[in-house]
Amino acid sequence: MNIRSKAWKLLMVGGLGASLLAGCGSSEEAASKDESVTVSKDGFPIVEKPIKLTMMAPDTGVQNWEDMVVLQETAKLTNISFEYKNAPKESFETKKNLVFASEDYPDVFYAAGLTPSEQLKYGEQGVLIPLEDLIEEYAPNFKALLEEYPDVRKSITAPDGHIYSLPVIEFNQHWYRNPLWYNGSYLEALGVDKLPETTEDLYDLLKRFKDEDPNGNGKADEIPVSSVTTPAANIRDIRTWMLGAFGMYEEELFVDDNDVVHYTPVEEGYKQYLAYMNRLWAEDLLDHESFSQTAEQKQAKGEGNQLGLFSAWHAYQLLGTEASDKDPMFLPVHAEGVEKAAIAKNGGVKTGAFAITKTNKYPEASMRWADYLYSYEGSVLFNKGPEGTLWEYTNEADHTKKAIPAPDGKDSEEIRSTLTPNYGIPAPTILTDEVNKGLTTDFDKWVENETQTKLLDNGARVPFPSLFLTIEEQSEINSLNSDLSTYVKQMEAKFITGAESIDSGWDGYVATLKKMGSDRIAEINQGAYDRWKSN
Amino acid sequence: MKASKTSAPELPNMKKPSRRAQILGNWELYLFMLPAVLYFLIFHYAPMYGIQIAFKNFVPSKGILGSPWVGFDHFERFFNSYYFWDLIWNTFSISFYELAIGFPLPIILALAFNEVRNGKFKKTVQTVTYAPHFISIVVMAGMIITFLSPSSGIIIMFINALGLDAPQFLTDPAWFKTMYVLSGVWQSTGWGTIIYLAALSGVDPQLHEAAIVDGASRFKRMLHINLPTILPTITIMLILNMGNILGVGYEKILLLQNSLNLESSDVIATYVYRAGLVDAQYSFSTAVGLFNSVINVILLITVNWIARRTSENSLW
Repeated sequence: MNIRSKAWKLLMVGGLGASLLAGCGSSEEAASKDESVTVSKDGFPIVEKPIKLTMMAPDTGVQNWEDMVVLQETAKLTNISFEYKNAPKESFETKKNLVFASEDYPDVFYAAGLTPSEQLKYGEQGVLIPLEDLIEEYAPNFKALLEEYPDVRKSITAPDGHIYSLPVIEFNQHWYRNPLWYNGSYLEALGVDKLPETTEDLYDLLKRFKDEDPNGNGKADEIPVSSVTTPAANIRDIRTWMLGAFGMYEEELFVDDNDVVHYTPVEEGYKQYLAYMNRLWAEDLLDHESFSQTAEQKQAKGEGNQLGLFSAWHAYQLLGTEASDKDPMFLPVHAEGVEKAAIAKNGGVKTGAFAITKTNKYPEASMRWADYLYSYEGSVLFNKGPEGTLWEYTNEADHTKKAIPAPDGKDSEEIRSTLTPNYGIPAPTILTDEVNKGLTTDFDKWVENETQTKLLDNGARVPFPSLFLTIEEQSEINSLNSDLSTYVKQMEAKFITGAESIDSGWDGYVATLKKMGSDRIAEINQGAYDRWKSN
Repeated sequence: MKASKTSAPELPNMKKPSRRAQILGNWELYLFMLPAVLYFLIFHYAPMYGIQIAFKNFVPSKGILGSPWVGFDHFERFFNSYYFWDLIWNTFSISFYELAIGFPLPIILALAFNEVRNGKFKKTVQTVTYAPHFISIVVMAGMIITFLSPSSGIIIMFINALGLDAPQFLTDPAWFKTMYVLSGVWQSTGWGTIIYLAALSGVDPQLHEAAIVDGASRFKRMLHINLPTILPTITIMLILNMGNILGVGYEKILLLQNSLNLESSDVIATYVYRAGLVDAQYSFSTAVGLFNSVINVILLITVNWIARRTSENSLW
């Protein structure tokens, strides 16, 4: 019995020791490169014998990435396949933070939306490897692109001179956030033929939405404006446009025409925005569920034809109708005394889409794989799906295509989301007119025209460049921001809903913000902006 | 069984066997304990090694040991935070509110169940009250939001149909705590009765017979026989609950939180979540979490001390 018990003890102690060791000993050094694999500098396959890497990416939950035709075809073409470590798009930020903290890095990040500060921080720590030499040697398409657009190189190069990530390049996608759309049937029922141009006009129209039963069901169930609050920000989908009316850009920071950086929540225009929204709230023109409802609840109201003005990618998607040019895009309004509305525009280049970590054994092969995404063929494959599914060539030589109608009357966007990962996530790619050639529908052209006449022609611009802060600056901002952003968010909701009076509460609010360091945030960013500007 | 033979009650005049001999003699019992001890060592003690990052500036690539020490900086930052007193107040008030409502209800329900004689009825009611326990917290939060939605919520419609003006449960800070506690009652009261029912099954029927002969009413018997019998269980449960008091179920709070109810719904745990997982300030959030745990331990020890002084029951 004694011997047996000793054996047990040893076994148990051994087991414990082993698990403790496993817990501690996981910090790896940079992966030793696997030299046995030769990477061809052009042509396919990229490697002779198949290799497998791990990829971390956000997932919209429509299709398993293993089953996506586009990824399967690319694996066949390149001999590089991936094990996918997906996290749902909504919680991807959290998962990404955990991965960086746990040192269990994937070989590559895809569509990860790494912020400039993350790139710099993890780049300097050596987690993300510098890509500029690899681009030189193994990325002919991307290198040509950088030569063609020197601005792209400027915006993806960190202050230490390294490139830590590849960008999303969409020169013809100008939206900073989804536009607002009017419910066309409401406008028709009320005989509105001219869209509001000022905040007062808008107020009058919303009031009519509320009172005159534009959906014609005999009930006063119309909700003039509805919005959804996310963990990131209150009613962000409409505040971008409402703040614009008072000459403010929506983000916490923006730079004015004289290169002065402003912290939006302390500005006078922000106060006017709060007062206006409070008025909409008090008269029941702004949905009282805007701070608590889910996107699904808003969708249900849209499909029930209850909404008059709302944010969406396309209006018909929220209203549950067919694509049509009957629902006009919101024309940015401006308040009295504000000369023109501030309209935010997407800069066309978004960094942080693709990065390679130090544990990757095949950085050269990974870079060549990523380079394929920036070639014409790769871009078409990843953005449009394989030829013969949703499109086919009418003239392959000049890249003209025509759309194939989706089977069984399905929405072709829905089918596309099952074929390719490039759907609703910031995937590394370049989207050019050539890729879309022949595929733009009348509806696309109409949307493009709405964008041009209502946003771009009215002076849309990038509110604040995506610039790099130093690690010290970033960590100071992080520690200031953790209470500050909560406070701003909380007070915004209170002011709008009238829980706190703007007249009597504003001064105290601004004083508290200053005490919490709002000036310092503007100051740090002003410094970074000046550096960026002089570069 | 061997075990029962070796662990026979000691006689006072017997020489006490050495501890070693005692352990060896009862080795099977210790073997049974081993998995639980290992579980705690591996999953609760070993990770404590990471607590040191509360006093450091943790940089993942440098590792836990390699990161530089900063002393009590993170604690100072938390104590000076604008939200410090709000967080403390919310954490305590939600916890005590929950305890005040949620703790006695299962006891009352269990005493009531115990009086039900009809087997079928009793089983049905028990199953109905247990059922919400099995709903996952995410689904539960989704149900609460749907039921309390001002435009389509079934509970709101019911209140309105009664001619009352339904409050904004989801967005009014004054209602958050009540909503949180009452939905918790709905979910866990039935399940909480199980342990008390088990204790009640130990009541000696002779006591009841004697009381009936003396002419005691049902209510009197419940009060003077059933309740005292389960009192030790109640005390232990109370102490255990106190140990958890600052560990309020933050998942549910997080899921029900919005900018409007934040002033009454933000607790230490959700603050830690935001600082740690969302903003990636690991050291700071560890410091806040550690502070929370220390307060918790102090509370546990205090309550246990009070219990030991005032009754015979305590954890140690």
